[in-house]
Amino acid sequence: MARRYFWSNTISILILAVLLLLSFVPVFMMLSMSIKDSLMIELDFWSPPIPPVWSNYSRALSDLVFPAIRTLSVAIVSIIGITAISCIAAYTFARLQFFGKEFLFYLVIFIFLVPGVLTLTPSFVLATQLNLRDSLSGLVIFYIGGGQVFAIFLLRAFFQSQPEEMFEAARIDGAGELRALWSIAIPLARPILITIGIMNFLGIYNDLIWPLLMLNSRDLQTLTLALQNYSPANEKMPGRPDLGAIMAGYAFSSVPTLIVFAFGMKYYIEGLTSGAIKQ
Amino acid sequence: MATTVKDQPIRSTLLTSRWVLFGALALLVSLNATYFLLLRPPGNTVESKPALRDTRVLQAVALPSQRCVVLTSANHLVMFSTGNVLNDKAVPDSLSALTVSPDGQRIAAGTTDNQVIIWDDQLNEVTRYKVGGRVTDLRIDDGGQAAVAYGIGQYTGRFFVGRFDLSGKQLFKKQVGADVNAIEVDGQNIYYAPVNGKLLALAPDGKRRWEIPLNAAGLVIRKTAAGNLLTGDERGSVFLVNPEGRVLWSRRLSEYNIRMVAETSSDGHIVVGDDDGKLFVLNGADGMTVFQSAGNPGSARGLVSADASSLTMFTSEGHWLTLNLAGALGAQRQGTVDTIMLGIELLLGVTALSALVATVPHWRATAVHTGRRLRDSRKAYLMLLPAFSLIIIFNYIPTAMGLYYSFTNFNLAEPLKFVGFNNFVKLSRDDFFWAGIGNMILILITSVAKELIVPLIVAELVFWLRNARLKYWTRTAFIVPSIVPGLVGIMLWKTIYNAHSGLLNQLLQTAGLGYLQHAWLGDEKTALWAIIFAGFPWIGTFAFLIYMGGLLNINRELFDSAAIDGTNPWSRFWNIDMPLIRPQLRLILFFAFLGSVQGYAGVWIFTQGGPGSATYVPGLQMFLQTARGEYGYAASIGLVLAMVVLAVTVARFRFNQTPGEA
Repeated sequence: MARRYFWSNTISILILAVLLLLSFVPVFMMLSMSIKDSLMIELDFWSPPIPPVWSNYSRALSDLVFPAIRTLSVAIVSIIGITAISCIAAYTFARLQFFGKEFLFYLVIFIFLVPGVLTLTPSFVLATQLNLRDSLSGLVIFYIGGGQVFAIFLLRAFFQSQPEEMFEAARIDGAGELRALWSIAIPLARPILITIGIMNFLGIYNDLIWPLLMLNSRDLQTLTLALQNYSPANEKMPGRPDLGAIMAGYAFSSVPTLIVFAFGMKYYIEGLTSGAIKQ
Repeated sequence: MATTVKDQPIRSTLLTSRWVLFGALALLVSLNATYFLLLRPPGNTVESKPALRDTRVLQAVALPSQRCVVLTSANHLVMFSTGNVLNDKAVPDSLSALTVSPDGQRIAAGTTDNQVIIWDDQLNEVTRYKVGGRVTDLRIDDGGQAAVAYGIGQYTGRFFVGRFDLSGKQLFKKQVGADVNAIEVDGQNIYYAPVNGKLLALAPDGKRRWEIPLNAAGLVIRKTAAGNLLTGDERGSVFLVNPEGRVLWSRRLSEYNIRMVAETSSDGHIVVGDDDGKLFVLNGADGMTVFQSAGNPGSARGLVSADASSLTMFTSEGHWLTLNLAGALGAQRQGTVDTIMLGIELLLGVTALSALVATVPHWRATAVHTGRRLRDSRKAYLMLLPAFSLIIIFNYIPTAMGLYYSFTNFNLAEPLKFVGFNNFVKLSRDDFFWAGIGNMILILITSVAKELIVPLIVAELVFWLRNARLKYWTRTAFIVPSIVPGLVGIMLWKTIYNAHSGLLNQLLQTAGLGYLQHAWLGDEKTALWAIIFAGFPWIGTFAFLIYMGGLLNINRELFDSAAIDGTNPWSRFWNIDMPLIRPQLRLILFFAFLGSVQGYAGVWIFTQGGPGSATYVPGLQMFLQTARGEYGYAASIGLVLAMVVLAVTVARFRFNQTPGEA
């Protein structure tokens, strides 16, 4: 019996090891090519990256640092906007009694039924009409507007699960609704706020289609726009792109997501594995 | 006792509101009576009536004594007298232009096979003669001579304006640089508008007197009673030009071809018709629009009768179009009156309604109660205001716009117009769209297999690892590759597929399989499969974590009792794990579906849909059409995809609600 378990366990580990190795292939390739001389990549693909060519990174960094800063500021401002506005609305739905509450909440979640493909074109027309195109603030406004519904939905459920007695006590002590939200509801909602932050960060950081439509100016390029046609010239092989620098650029652009995962992985995994988002 | 004291003021308000209600209603009735009896002009300003069926009308001209003749696209000349068909003559030649002599005794037409035909006013042929090319327009002057614009071919430059006497003898001809759309004569002077967007004048000897630029190619020229020239062009502009070539005024009226300009005989107003079925009445002196009507059946092709009170035109769809002049000229004043009327009626209506509510005690109580609740909810509404403004502007308005645009021709080149289901008909005949649907279905099937099965296997294997530490670290390790941003992941696979220095080709080379090397994304046969294969071995973090969560949520006791029963892993998987993580499977299935129908960013990065249409998907087509400015068409693709998504979403929710289902 134990013998059989040993074998099945070993086979499991073996299969997992192979799959793990395979899914790391692109990452290994990226990292090794990023510290290789571009000429060597073209001439001798399998040569080891020894000695490492760190100049690839300085080249990629000088090309991509400004787009990266732009993307990060867009993402941060958008996330602050999304959470601030949706917190107030979600709190109102969760804690206040008012006329037409159910109807208004249905109005919010009805948007879940509208697929993104339907609104892409009109949103673009709307951006043109509102004169929001070709500006980072226009991008931010659309992200804030688009992020509301999901954030309100998640936060409302969370706020509702908080015990009413706490808020009752705060009100007796003379706290207004905004005060109760700021001092009680939000501090307790940190995990869900971080989850919302991570989700929106990943969405905005990886977004290509919307910036592609919205931004025309070269000096407004976000990181994804800069990366998708990042092709610095190879000085040693005219007519070929500098693959080393490109890979260094890809590796560099993985750093922000790495940081976000390192800080928020716990919440992200908990959120998904706890079964909170099941249906 | 207490009730009677309390009832007193209520009863008096009831009485007051009853009086207010009766007063408002009485005012409303008398106001409307006055309006309909006195202030409103009888009948519609523009009325249409079908005259010819199943044929299109190219041109219509007026004849004396209430008669007119129209030229149809089937080469019939149809003569009407006071609205009835007098004579319907089929002409064996292919007619291209129609005119009538100033005295109304001769009708002349040009043909595409180089002839001018002249009939008398009973449509009996009088004469015909040859000119040196396809006739594009002609006029007959007071002396019976014809000014004819004709030409040969399209790219030859052999275009002429000529003058012919009654017998067909050519008096002069002048070669002009471009095909002529319209010609007009005044005494011995000839005016013409070629396709290059100019208006030119020729002296009697054929010398050019002047030329002026129009906004686009002129389509029609008519002289006015005062000897000026009216002309309309392809971009909806109308010009009034004096005989010396000075523009007296010009007006941009529409975006469409102007097919008719005519002076009303009585009071110097000008009536203009465009290809969109719009009709304009302009002030002759300054060209200001005094009346406008849209949506008429067909474009006006000629003024066929005019008297002091009305104008009658013939439209391309074979309808009479009668314009009530008094109504048209009074339209502006009438508009103001109507607006004021509407305002007063609304005000009275609201007063009457609130008075009515106040009259019935029960309704009154409800109204007061609702008002109080609305007032008490002020704070909540204020707190919802920011979020709702954003949701309305950035979610609801685009949704409404998307629904509307998919039924319009909205693009950057043409004016916005409602086109019904045209976009969808066009879509159903669009090869790119169907190629995209085929590719989308293949991507859908494969991605369901990829995202449903592989992460499930991995989740099962990791979940049943016996060492807790090993389990934790394996789970974490499988998440690590997803740190690479999505775009970079795709760019890395693009690099792997690279024909020159890609990992895949290098691998084949090293393995001695060099003959299998390929431009994976550049070949129509392999491009789509290369995109599908990307991401191998397809361990989606999201699906993996969802499955792990599902497995963790299963009650341990079930596993324990299965182990006691000696169930082997295989049957445990089928009998316990699978049924209990069915909600998770359905969720991933749904996301795989959404991703395949709505996701096109990956395809765009890999191949932009190429080579040819090998990797086209409908979402990408929508994106490209949007970027190209074809908003109406793009919105209709979006709507089709949205309907598919919506149908599946609704089905999913219904299915989930079925009793007995987890």
